[in-house]
Amino acid sequence: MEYNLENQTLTFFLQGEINSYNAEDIEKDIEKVLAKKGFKAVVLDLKDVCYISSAGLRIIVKLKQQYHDTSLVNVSDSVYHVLEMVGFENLVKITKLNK
Amino acid sequence: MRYSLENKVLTIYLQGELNSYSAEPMGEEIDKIVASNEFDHLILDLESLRYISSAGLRIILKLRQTYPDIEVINASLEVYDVFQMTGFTSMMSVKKALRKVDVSKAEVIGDGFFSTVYRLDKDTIVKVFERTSDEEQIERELRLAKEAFVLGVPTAISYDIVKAGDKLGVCFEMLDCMSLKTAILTNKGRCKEYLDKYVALLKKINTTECFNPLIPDIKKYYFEKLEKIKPYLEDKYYQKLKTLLTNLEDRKTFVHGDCHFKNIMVQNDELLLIDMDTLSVGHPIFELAAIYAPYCAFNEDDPGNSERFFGISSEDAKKLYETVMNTLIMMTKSSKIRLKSLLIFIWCGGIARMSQITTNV
Repeated sequence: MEYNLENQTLTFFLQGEINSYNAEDIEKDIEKVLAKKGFKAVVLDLKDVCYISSAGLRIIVKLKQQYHDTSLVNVSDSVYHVLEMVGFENLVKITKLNK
Repeated sequence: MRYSLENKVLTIYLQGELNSYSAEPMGEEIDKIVASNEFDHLILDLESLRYISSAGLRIILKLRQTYPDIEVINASLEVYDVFQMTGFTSMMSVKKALRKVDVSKAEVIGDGFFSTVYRLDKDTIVKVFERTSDEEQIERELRLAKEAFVLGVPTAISYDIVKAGDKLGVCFEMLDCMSLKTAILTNKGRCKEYLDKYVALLKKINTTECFNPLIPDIKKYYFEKLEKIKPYLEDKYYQKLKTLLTNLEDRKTFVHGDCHFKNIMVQNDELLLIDMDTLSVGHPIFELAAIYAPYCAFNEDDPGNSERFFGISSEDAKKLYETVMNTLIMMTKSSKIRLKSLLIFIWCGGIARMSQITTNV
């Protein structure tokens, strides 16, 4: 799992599809990094994510419950459609991918 | 150009592409249809429209000047994007086309009185409603369920309204888990832990505030019920119930309204609510009444109900209810008796007796 820590912001770079086949592994990877602490905000960079299923959405819900300042950036149109459909635009801050 | 006129609602069906070439002839055709029909409401159905350009948007804008409540329905995602980008969606009602799903080969995983649940893929299910349900009603419920979810009430993630053949359905996330009922019955050793979680969930629901004007007020609903059963009630009971309801404090906290342990799922030790159809706001006493009903009241009116509905004896159902209540509220014996009689009064007066009365009449 690629990530960086800058200005107390921990950014994860997720890739490909996030579904019930890999969500658990992704969550474990994220948790390992979260254990390091020393950050105030969590950002998921979804630039290279083409699909997210409910198993992936659950990761976002859990992160938001633990870290109030959780946001999603570089969200593609198709992923945004899903996030909008499930009402997540009212749950976390979402920034779309610049075309 | 195809159109239909029904109950003074004129629907015009646009096809193909609405661009600078086709805009003028299409606009003229629309004008002709509009001029030769008498109607109160105008709808443009874009199901067969693949593309719309600014010239096309201008036609709609012009129509809107004459018919301010014009509606656009069945827009494809691409066409909807154009409406959204240009700000049309905040100016007029534009509705996306419902996604179509094929359930003919899907596995049936649940079967209810009003709906059938199919598994669409590994992560999603669709609940297809048996009767022709009201789309607006489903949409409203869905929006409220999403709002509850965002406010922190743990529920299954809901997606969109879809069409399965000629029936309507709603997509949800697949919860790969068991109901709280199964969890409690199969892990008797963890019963207390699950019941504590059950109580925590009830507290979370009944303390989360929602100020959405769309959400129904359960007190109003009970007042309506009371009026309906008035002819079958002795006047002193009617008056008593009315006073009781009137004196109940108005609250803006959620009431799930059907929070028994078959409507709760356990996923990774987290309890999640399903079936948010009865969500409303009001005093938590209504929640307690709706819990009292399936665990105790139904069986009193209909012996054997606990076995049939929950698969447990009526004694066990009662014990479960008592435990939940004792964990939820610290009570003296006398206040316990008072609360119980209040719940019986609210529930039986309002709902259960009513169905009994109406079936007997």
